[in-house]
Amino acid sequence: MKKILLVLLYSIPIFASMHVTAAYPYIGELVKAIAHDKAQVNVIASASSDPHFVVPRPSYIGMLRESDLLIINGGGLEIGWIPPLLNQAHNPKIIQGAAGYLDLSSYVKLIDKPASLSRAQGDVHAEGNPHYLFDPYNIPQLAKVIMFKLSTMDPAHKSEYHANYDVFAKHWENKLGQWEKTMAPCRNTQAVQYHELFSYFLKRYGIRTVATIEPLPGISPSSKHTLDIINQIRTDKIGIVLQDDYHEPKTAQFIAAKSGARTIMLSHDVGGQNDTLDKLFDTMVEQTCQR
Amino acid sequence: MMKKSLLWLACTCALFASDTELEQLKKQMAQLQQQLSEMQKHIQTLESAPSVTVSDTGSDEEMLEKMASKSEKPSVTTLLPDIALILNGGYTSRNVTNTQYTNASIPGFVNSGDMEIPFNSKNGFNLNYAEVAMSSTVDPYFDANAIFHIHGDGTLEVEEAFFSTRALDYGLRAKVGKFKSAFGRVNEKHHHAWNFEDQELVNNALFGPDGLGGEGAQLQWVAPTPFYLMAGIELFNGNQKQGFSGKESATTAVSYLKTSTDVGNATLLGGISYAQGNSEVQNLNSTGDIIPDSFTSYGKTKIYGADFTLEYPLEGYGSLIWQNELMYRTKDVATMTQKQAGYYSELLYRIDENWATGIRYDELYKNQNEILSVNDLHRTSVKLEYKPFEFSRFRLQYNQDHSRYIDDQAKTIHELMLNYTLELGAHGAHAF
Repeated sequence: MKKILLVLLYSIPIFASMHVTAAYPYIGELVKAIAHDKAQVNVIASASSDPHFVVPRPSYIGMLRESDLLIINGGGLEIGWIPPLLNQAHNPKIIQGAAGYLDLSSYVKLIDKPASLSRAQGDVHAEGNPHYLFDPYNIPQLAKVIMFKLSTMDPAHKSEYHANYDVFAKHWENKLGQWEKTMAPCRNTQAVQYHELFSYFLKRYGIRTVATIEPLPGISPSSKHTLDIINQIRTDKIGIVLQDDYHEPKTAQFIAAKSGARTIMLSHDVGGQNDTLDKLFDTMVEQTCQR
Repeated sequence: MMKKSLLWLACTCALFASDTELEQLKKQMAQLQQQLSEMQKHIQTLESAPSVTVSDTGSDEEMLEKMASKSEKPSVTTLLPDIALILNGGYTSRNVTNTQYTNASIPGFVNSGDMEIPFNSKNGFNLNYAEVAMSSTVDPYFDANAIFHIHGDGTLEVEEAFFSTRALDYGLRAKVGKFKSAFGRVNEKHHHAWNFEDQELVNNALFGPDGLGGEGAQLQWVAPTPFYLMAGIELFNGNQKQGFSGKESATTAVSYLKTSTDVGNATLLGGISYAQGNSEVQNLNSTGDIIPDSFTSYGKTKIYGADFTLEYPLEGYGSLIWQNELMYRTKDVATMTQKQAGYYSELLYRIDENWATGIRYDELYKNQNEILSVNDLHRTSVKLEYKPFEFSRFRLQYNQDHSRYIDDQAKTIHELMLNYTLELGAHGAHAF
């Protein structure tokens, strides 16, 4: 009888485990690192599509309907697709302002906040650049926020969440040391990117973004702007052009061929060949700073 | 900067110094440079520390609060509703005159003179509307929306104005006010979110240009299933333009069931819908003719709908969408029960973030009515779209329209429309 009771007691946490929905794969990775098997994690966006324009598929509504906690990147990145999904999911636990709505951008400092706001400047984010994920020093901060959030919502597993965080933070500190070393020779160099996507990463390691292939955020490249960039690369001896995997790569390849700069294809989230946070940053570091 | 001035200092000193002093100075310089590089290293490590530092005391909840970065005080304007302005207009060219076009009929569905054409009604330039849309959260329990169309001729129309619940449990949400029904696939969408510049023929023929809806109430339920399953019921005041009797109060009832699943990369969305209300059974005179606008008894209008959409994402921003909808209506009138049905099928190809194209075929294939039973009413449309940016769109559309009769004669209408749609301000994102 006692044994049956024990079995029953052990089986309860499985049924009671929290349902967490992560807007992007990297958030899902962080939740898994903190919660291990104590939470069920669903991820909405994939690494293959533009994080600004995720198609709000109805299947995500079913996902959100069952969630106890929704974790978003924030900073306006999801403005084009999370609101209609939340509106249709009818789940008061995770609407904006509820305990189950966690906006990670509230816990980091955003850079490049525009001084004035006009759509004549393209698709500018009022809150600043939302791609803060690419500063690897933000990652433990985000993990910590998730650790506290999970502990608050699920105090029964608090000690596990804290312990898992400690392991993760220690591991990440090691990685930061490695990346610091690899990136050191590339300090005070210059780069071109397609969109202001990797700005946090470049800023962290002292690489200055001197131009973007898109003339304005959200505007497709024009031939005049492309030629200007080629000239700038030639005169300023800029070494690298960073290209994400959802915009067309032809313009970047053309610029590289004409100017002699090196094009680097980078993933913008965890997935595909870079299926862990470690690999995502390892690849970014290796590709960006080849000496 | 500092290095340079130090060097300058060292050089000027050296000019006046003896050899031994020079040696000493060199040593000091080396020491200073070492100190400087150590300081630079220190600055680098300080810079790399996380932007927010936290003292490790307090409960988890308090810690979370402490970690939040201090943002500026929210201003009062953040309490204003989100306001968007949408402009739509363009240039239209048809092979019929404006008078012929506005007096056309769709036999059995819309009588001559009853046709309402809110968009692109004239040959030449048309300002279809300036849409003003406002939305906001009211309080912890309600959201509210209001959408107005100010047409080119100065008339103002309340497209929608409603509030909906935020905090109901069990996956429920209620909506009250004036709004568009979620019947079928496209009925709920606003003009600027339509796939083509004009309404699908079957929707236009059965419900009129504003679609099914009006003043009413709605309750929707999302099922706790791992896939998407939604059921809804609605009640509206009867409206003659939508095929019902407008004489009595809330008599139009709508219900639907929608479901969706992803198969690989593709998304499938399907739904069945049903609407029911009163129809007017008009009186006949002694010779058996209908006495216009007279009736003593009510019949039933019933509409059955089914829709199916397949969306397949392509590389980058491209996608392929195949969307279909079928409707069947029975309506009791003076001498018979009308039986009418129609469908549309459209294939949309989004090439990249700037270009899109599409083709649509509309048909009213069943049309048993008491006036003129023609069942070869159909229309073919093609479009090409260019979006310089997320908030502006230009669309060229050609229609070959075999659905209209002019002076009781079938007439093929060719129309070419070039339209612009501009979205300004804080416009909420659209659903799938």
